[in-house]
Amino acid sequence: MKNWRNAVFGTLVAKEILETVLDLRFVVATLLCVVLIPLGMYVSREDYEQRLTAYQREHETYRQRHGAPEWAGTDIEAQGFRPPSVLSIFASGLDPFLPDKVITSHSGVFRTIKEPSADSPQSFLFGKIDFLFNIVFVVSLAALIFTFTCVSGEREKGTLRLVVANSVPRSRILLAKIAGKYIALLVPFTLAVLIALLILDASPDVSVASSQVWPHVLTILGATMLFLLGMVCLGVCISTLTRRSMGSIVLLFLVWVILVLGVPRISPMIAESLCSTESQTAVSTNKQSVADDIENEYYQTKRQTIDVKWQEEDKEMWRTVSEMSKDIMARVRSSGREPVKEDSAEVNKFLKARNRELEDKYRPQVARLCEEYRKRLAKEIKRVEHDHRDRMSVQHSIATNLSRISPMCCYAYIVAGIASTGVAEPDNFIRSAQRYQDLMEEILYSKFIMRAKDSWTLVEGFDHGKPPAIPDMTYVQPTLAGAMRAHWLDVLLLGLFDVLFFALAFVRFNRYDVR
Amino acid sequence: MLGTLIKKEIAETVLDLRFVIVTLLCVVLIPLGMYVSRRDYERRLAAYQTEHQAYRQRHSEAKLWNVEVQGLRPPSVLSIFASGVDPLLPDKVITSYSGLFLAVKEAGTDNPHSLFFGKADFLFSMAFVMSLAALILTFDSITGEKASGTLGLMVANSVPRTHILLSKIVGNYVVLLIPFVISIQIALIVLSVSPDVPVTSSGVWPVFLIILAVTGLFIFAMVSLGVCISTLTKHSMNSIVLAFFAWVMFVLGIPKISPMIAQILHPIEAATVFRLAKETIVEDTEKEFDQQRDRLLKKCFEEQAAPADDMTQLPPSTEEGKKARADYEEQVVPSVQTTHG
Repeated sequence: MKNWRNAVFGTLVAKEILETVLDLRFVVATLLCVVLIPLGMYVSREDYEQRLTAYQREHETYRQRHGAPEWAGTDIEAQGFRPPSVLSIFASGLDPFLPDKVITSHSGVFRTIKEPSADSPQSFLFGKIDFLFNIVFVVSLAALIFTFTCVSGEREKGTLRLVVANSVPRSRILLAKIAGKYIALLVPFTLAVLIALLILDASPDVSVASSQVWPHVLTILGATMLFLLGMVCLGVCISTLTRRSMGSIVLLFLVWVILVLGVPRISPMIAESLCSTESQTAVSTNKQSVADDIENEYYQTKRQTIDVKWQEEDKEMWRTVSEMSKDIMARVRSSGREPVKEDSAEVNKFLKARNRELEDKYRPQVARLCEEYRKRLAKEIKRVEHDHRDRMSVQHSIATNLSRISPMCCYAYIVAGIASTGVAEPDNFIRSAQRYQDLMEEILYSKFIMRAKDSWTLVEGFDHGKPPAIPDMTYVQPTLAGAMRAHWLDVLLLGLFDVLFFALAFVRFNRYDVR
Repeated sequence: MLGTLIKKEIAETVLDLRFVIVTLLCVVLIPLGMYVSRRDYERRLAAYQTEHQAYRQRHSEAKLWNVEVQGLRPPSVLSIFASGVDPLLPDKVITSYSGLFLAVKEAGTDNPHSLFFGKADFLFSMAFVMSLAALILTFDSITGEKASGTLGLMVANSVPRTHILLSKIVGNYVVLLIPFVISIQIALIVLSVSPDVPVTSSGVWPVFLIILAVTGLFIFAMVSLGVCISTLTKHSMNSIVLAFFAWVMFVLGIPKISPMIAQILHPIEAATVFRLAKETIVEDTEKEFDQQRDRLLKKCFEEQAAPADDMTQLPPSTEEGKKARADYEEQVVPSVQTTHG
């Protein structure tokens, strides 16, 4: 009995596969997959190679011209560059919007720059046809097109009642449909992916077999197959909800628009309405204002507490010099000779010694005050950043959780997260930029003491003729384990969606009137 | 007869479940997208005004030696309808003495989810949702009637085939305009509530009318395409597959593939490489200018037999040094003009 049931199941699966493969839909889906996926991969690869070359050239030029400065001045603003992620070939995500470099500064406020690119405005206007796009828009729609008539269509043709009449359990019929359609969908998908991987491997800059790439690619493919299974189950579920193919197509259209176009775009809107935050421009302006205020306060305090005393003692010194000069001139005139250069030697010696005394007395005070204000500035800037990031993270959290209603969003988060182009990447960049600013602060910027606006002196012991080499910014891209830890919930949800759609289809199909 | 056929098409489509779903989608998505685009525009306008004001306050007194004048780009009010490449356009330009200007896009991404998934603005709603709706409403206009047998009856009544076709196109088009007009009216109310969006101003409403006219033309084209697809097949199932294929190619495929093909046929250097080349030229020219200036200074001092120490003194302490400096100043200004020219 068990063998018979297995044989029937196998037969049903084979029937579904054959039916799908002989349909026009299969030809169209295969054509679309085999054209769009490899083509998208080819263009993404070319784009990556171009970005990598541009990054390497800019980085190298910068290192040659500014990497080892011969003289340290306050005009040095160390720059860090963001390398392109090789996996952005699969999902461009937020990559076109992320800054390319960070410019640190003495003021403690770093700037992040996105180089405006006029490479292809049409690409920006219409978007890129990367792997993620193809799966989410094209293959998911193809999956629904394959399956929306698998129950309602068979009912209309009359074959469904014949199958049920053969005392085949309905659960097996349903499973056979899902399995058959899924296998049929995997044929063009696998073919397209194989061609795409060959195209990728042909590039000298991309090594698919390297340990930094193949585990990620396998994980992306695994997530894709889970997502496509969900779409197949959804299509079958839609088919069980209606009695006619026309009803199925209408419901399919509504569901696809809501899940793929509606939910992802509406969730950020709702999140912004519930929890609005300042724009990044406003935060940058705020940081600059804070920096200006603290700088002005520093100069004012320095003027009131140190400069006043220094100037007083300086004036006293010049009074003494003036009196000494008068005495020397009187002595020289009384001796009846013309004054010579050596007469002022005593005065010069006194001046030099007294200047040295004053420098030794007041410079450490200026250095301490400068250090205190520098720390305060760094603390305030970080506070502004943290406040903004905290508010943003609440908004992002709401947007992310709302969008997880759609399996497409869960899938997109997983793939983009693995490709380092996801919604968490801007924060990652800002953290890297802050680390770089702190490093430059430690090795270079803290060696300069602000005396007045545009006037600096050096910390004791620092030789500005032998400055340290400018280090590179360390940009940390998340590892595969890190990405999976960050997106374990999305993987779980994808699995749950598969189970949910199947369960709904199962419940509906058990009560489905096959007449 | 044409009128009767059109009325029949309208009645048939309006009573279909598809019309209800399309109306629901339009009436929800279009005003909602307009509301969010409007909020986004207000925020960008406020950010621009704040930054512009702060810049003018901080740099109202220019210091000659460190001026890098900045220009700021105001947001366009019509970007509410189509965000387009606006998220990627630079926010400001920083000019400089070297002759190079730097176009800067302010750091960070304000709303990464919006940028990740895209915005549901008016353009998106029309290009993706309305176009798909047009195809869904019309893909079985011929094949469906053939399957139900009513097409044969109509043709048998010696109704010209052109009338039948025209009635299908016009009827479906009129039906599709109903949810479109309702949703546009709601969207306009949403827009006019904002103090920052002058819908009735002469800079906005004529452009808005043109946008609506072009959208009407686009919807007509999609309805015609749907009817055309229906005439190419014998069964509704084949029609829907062909409609799906056509939609993917026209809406998703061709717009994204054309820049790729253009890049392959005519590749160009990345903008970064081009900018680096310009900067290298400027730096090299400036270095050469500095070297020439030093040589000129040395030559002037040698001609006047002034002491070499005086070259670094400002003003020079000897008479010869002062003459040499004067000669140098006279000659260096034309050199500066040549270099910057």
